[in-house]
Amino acid sequence: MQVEESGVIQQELGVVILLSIAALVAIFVRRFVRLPYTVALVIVGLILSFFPNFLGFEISSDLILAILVPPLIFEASLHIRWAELRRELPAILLLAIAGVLLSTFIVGEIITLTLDEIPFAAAIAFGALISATDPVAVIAFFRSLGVSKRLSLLVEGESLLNDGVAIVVFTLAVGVEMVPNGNAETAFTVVTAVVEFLRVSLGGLGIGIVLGFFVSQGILRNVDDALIETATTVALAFGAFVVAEELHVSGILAVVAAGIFVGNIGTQNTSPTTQVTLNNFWEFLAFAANSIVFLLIGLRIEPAQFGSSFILPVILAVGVVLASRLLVVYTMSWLNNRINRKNQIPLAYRHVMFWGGLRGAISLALALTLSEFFSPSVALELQVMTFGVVLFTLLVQGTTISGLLRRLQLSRQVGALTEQQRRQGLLFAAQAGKRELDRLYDEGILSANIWQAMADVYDSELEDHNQALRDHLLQNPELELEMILQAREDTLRAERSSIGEMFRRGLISEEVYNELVRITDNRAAALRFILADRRDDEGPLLNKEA
Amino acid sequence: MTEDVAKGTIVCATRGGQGSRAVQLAAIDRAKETDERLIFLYVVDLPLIEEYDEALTGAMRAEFQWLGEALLRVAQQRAERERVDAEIAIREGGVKEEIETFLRESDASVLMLGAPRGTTPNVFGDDAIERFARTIESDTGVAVKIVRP
Repeated sequence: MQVEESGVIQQELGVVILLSIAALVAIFVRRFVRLPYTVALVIVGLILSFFPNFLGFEISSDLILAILVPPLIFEASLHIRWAELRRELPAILLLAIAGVLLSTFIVGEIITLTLDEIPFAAAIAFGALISATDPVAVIAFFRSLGVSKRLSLLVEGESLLNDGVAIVVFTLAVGVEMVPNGNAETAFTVVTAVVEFLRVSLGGLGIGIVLGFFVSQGILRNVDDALIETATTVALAFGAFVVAEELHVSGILAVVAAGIFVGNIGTQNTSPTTQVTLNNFWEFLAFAANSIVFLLIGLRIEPAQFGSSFILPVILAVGVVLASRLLVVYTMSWLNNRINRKNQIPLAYRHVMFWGGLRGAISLALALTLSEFFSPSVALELQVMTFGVVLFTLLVQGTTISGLLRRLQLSRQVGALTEQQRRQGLLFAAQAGKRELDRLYDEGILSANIWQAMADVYDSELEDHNQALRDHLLQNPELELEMILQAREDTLRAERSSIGEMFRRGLISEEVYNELVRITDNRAAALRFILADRRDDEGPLLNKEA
Repeated sequence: MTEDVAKGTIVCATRGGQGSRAVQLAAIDRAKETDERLIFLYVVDLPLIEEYDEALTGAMRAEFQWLGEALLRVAQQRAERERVDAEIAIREGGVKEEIETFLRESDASVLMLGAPRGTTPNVFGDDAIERFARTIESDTGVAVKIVRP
C-alpha cells in the first residue's frame, strides 16, 4: 500500500514538474523571445534530454494515446466550421487521406530499403506517424501576419484529418507487428490493409457522429452553462475515444467527428461568455497535453544517441520527409485543381503548404508508444528520427515560414488593423470604467464631489480616445469596412444566442426555433464566406467597383 | 421641376473598399457645388454570389443586401453632416449591367467610381477600372469620373 501511494505521488510530482516547466517556457516566450511556443518547447525538450529519467516513471503508450492525444484533437476540431470546411473538403480529403497514405508508403519504403535494421512494419509505422502535420507554430505566424483565412483553413483542416488517418495507419502497422508468428511483409497485404483501414476509419467517424449528435442535440443545445457544457464536452471527448477503442475502431477519428459536431451544433445556443469559458478550458487542456508530449520525448532520448549513432538516420529521415511532403502537396493540389475547378489551390499556397508542413505533438506521442511494439533498439532509433524531424521542421521550417509568406506576398499589412483594435480597446475600457463609476455613485457608495471629479477625468479620457480612433479611421478609410464586418459578426452571434434564450424560456416553439436558427446560421455562414473571401484577396467584398 | 431635370443626378457607386470614402466625399462636394441630386448606389453582385454553395445563395443575397445598406447609410450620414440630402439605392444583378440601367433610370449626369490605392490581383487595377469606366461611358453616354484616395 505504502509502495502504491509513493508511486502515485511520484507520478503526480512528475506531472507537476512537467506543467511547471511548460508554464515557465510559456512565460519566457511571452516576455523575452518572439518564438512560437512549440519551437521553445522542443528546445527545452532537447535540454531535458541531458537529464534522462529524472521523472522516475514511465508513461505507457495507452496512457499517451488515451489521455494526451484526445484533448489535442478535440480542441482543434471544435474550431472547424463545417460550412467552411465543406467548401475545401475535396482538397483536404485528398491531402489528408491520399496524401497520408502516399507519404506513409514513400517514407516506409525508403526507410526499409536504406536502414536494414528497421523492419517493414516499423518503417510503415514511422511513415504514418511522421505524416501527421502539426500547424500550431505555422498558424501562429499566419495570424500575426494576417494570412488569408482560406489558407489557414486548408492547413488546419488537413492537419486535423491527417492526424486521424495517420493514427489509423499507424495502429494497423503496429498491429501487423503484433500478429503472433506472422510475417509482417505477407500479413500486410493491400486488400486486408484497405478493408481494415476503411472499417477502422469509418467506424470511428460513425461513433463520433452518433455520440456527437446525441450529446449536442440532447444536452448542449438546451443549456447555456459553462460548468455543464465543459463537463459534458470532457465526457464526450474522452468517452468517444474509449467507446470507439472498445469497439476496435478509431478512437481519434471518433474524437474528430464529435468535436466538429459540438463546435458546429452543440454550442449553437451557447452565449459568448460561456463560449469563452469553454474555449479557454480546452485551450488549457491542449496546451498541457502538447507540453507534456514535447517534454516527455526530450526525456526519452539521450543526447549521445541523438548526436552520434543516429545522425545519419536522422538526416535521411529529414530528407525523405521533405521529399514526400513535396510530392504529396504538389500532386494532390494538382489533382484538386483538375477535379475542383471552383476552388483551385494557387501555386503560392502550395509552397506554403509544403514548407509549412511542420510535425509536432501527434508524431511525438505516437513515437513514444513504439517501444511497446518493436524491439528497444528499433523503437529508440525511430524515436530519435522522429524527434530529429520534429526538431528540423520546427527550428528550420517554423522559423523561415514568415519570410516565405512575405516573399510570396501572402501576408497582409495588419499594423493599421492592430492599431485600430488597440484604440478601440482603450475606448471600451474607459467606457466600462465610467459605467462602474456611475454605478458606484448611483448606489450611494461615492460622494457627489468625488464622482464628479473622477467622471470629469474619464470624460476627458474618453474624448481623447474617441478623437484618436476618428483620426486613425480618417487615415485608414478601409478600416471602416472592417469595423462594419466585425460588428456584423458580433450582432449575428448575439441574434443567435437570443433565439436560443427565447427557446429555453419557452417563448417560442421548437418549430419556430429551428426555423429562426436555420436562417441566422445561414446568414452567419454567408458572412463568414464574405469575410474569408475578402481576407483572401482584399478583393471584391461587395462587388468589383469601388 | 424643370430646373431639377436640368441639373441631373450624380450617381456614386460604392462598395466599401479603399476608394469608397474618397469617392463619397468627392460626390458630396460636387453635389454641394452643383446642387445636383445625389444617389449612393450599391449593386449586389449576383454572378459572384452564384459561385458560392447553392444552399447558401439566399443567405448570401440577404447578407450582401444588409451590408450594402449599412455601407450606404454610412455614406448618407456623411452627406448629412455636410448638409447634403443624399438618397440610397440597392440593385441586384451583374454590376456593369445594373449600373448602366440605373444611370438611365435616374437620368444621371455623372457616375462617380472609387479606385483602390494599389493594384492587387483580384481587384481592379488602374487599367481595368479605366476600361470599365470607358465601357459605361460609351454604352450610356454618361460621364464617368474616377476618384482615388
